[in-house]
Amino acid sequence: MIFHSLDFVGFLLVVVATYWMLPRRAQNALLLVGSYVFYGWVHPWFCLLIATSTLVDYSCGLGMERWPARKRLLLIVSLCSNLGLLGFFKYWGFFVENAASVLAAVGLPSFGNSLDVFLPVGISFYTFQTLSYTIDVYRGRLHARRDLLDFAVFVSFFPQLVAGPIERAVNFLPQVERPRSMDAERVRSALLLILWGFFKKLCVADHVALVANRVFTLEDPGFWLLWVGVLAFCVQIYADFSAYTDIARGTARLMGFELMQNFQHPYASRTPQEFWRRWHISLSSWFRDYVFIPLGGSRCAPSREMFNLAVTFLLSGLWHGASWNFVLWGAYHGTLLVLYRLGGQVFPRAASLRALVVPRWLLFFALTNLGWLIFRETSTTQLFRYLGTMPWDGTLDQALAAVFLAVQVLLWSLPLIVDTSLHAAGARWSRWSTRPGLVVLHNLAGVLMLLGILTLHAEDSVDFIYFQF
Amino acid sequence: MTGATSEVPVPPRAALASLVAACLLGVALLPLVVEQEPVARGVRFDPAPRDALVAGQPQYVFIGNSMLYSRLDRELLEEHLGAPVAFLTGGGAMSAQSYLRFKNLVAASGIRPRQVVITFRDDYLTRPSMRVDGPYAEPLQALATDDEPVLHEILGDAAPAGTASEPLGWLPTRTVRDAVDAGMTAAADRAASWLRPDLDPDARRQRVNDAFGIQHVRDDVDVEATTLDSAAGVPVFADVVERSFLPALLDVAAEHELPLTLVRVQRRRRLAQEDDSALAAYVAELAGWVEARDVTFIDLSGHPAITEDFYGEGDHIAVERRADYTRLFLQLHPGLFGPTPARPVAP
Repeated sequence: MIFHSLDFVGFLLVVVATYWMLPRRAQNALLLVGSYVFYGWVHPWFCLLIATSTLVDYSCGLGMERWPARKRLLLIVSLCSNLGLLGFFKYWGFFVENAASVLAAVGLPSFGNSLDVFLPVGISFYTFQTLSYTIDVYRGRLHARRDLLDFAVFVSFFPQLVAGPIERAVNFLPQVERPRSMDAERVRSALLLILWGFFKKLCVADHVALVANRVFTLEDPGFWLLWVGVLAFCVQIYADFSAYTDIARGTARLMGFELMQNFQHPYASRTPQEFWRRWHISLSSWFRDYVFIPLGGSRCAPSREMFNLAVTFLLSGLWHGASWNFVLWGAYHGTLLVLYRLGGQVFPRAASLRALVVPRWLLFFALTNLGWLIFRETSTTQLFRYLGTMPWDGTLDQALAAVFLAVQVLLWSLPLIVDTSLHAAGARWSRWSTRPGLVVLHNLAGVLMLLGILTLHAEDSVDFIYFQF
Repeated sequence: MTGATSEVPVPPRAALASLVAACLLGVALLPLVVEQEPVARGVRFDPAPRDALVAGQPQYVFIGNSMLYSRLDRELLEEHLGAPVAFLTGGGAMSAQSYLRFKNLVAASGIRPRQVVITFRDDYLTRPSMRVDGPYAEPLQALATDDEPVLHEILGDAAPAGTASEPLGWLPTRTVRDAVDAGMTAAADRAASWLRPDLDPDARRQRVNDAFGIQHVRDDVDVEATTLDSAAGVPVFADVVERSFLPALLDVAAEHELPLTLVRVQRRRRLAQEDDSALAAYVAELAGWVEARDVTFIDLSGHPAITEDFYGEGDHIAVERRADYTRLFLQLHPGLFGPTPARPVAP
């Protein structure tokens, strides 16, 4: 089921209305049934996968407490089963294709890919979520849960099941286990969050997507048109993904849950470090806690730290998809982090110079866009063709199209630009409050968003980008 | 506005109630403030092709676009089959038109053909919004009656105006959208005029469109499917089928007991080539789905008998090879066309 469908609106109304009439345990039962209906709406067999992950990790968690001597073995079982499922569904085709190419290159007989493996939506998200549980139980940060119902709700909670935020067991399980409450202020903030999410998806992301998709169908768009297309994608991916998160957080809040923030105005960043503290926070913090720090983190020799960063970002890139451009994207961001860190050591005062605030933001925004080009273009041949395009490449008509479309992209992005600018300027009225003036402003924004959604939604809405990961 | 820190906070319930009330009021007032553009019906439903079917009582009906009439010779088919054959085609017609031709012409005519064949390429049957606007809007309107709920459910705002009561039709959606589009286009053109002041706005827009001409499209991108929403590639069949015309098409076939065959024609670039994995998975699912509903599915893609020399421009079959192709098609599917023509049934 997708958020921007009438099916979901009906489903949500029924679930939320029923939910608040029930005691906590029955609420959890309803959430579990609702989550499985939501997940299996198009492909009921998806439910088998999530049930398998749930049962394996529930059993491993209990086993770790019952047989401490076998903790390590049980962690390996959990890792292998979860990453095995993920590896098979997400990376099998990629592995076979590349293995066949390598064999062919060294003159050995190749083999065909007889399996067309179909990627179940959301598997990367809930696999990482449930892994956080077994790893935390293994580390002793969390005690194993005995209540299978509560645990199953933690794994399958429908608002964030398909595209996150990737919740941590430490944060989310206690919310599942205790009674939830609701008050008018939470409902209001939830409704505004949901409206903001739908607005970003339907009135920003889906409109700028038209520009990005058009440009990326061109073999040789010329320099300026290419970068307008990349800019459109830059806006699209943020509006699209953060929209999903906002709808997920708002929906969860309507049922008394508080999900973690996944985005904090990432395009206001001036360094890669800052960017990764603001972009897809639930994933980057997952990799920090479960990959980077266990590898040694930054409390080690500089060369080892660079290695740790490289591994973390390569894996983070690969998490996004079985394609070399994602690996390259991860490597690119890892390299940026290393270069900025080295730059900080060479020019320690640069970060505090006010005169450099805007140039540093502009530089990093340009570098972020270069990253999005790598991320968006899945054909490496075409990617290198694009990367080789120079400012003087392209026709006057292409430059004309670039100007024309750039204005449209900027106009559709205005709500995001205003939102980020207000946040960056620390505007008081961008904060949550029940002061009369702010209530009026927020309500006005809510009405405008609703009217925008009803009248300006793109005619051809597309799926959320992160569904494919 | 935010000055005094001693401001009394709004009680939460009042704040929530004011938000809900403001939203309801906003939605209710919008149609009063902004005038709804009158819905123009445009071209009306043309019953002539339906009447021609009734008069001709064809035993075989073929529905499609240039992929059909460039491939099959209707007269030759009649000669071989010994029965009247009707072609219901439109240049560039896609699934929306095929659905309407099947429902409003074939089914509505009451004829009892032995076989109705619909041709298509790759995943086009589940790309409902492909070619429904621009030059394709009028042919679509000519096929649509005044009551097309399925068309509106699937195409939404892209459905031809006046062919059904639109959901949220009381909101001035078209007026607002047209105004925003016009404003954005004017702003974009003003900026573009800085680069090409020598051109008038129409010429500048034409230049912008030319930059995206088919000749500039990448080889690995499906030119025909280069609608703005199609860059994501071949979808998963199950994800898109319910949002396409396919279920409605099969419902019409079942309701009117019309034998239906879906034929996927071969594209030039897929000659003797296996589909990539996404397309192969899609076609396998499509075939299974339609066959489970008693509809015949034929996949001509990758057929070794159809070679490069058959082709003319693009995916079209060359005029001089059309007869050969027609004979080959009949040879390949002898079971599709029964040995004896059925008796015509009066409408």
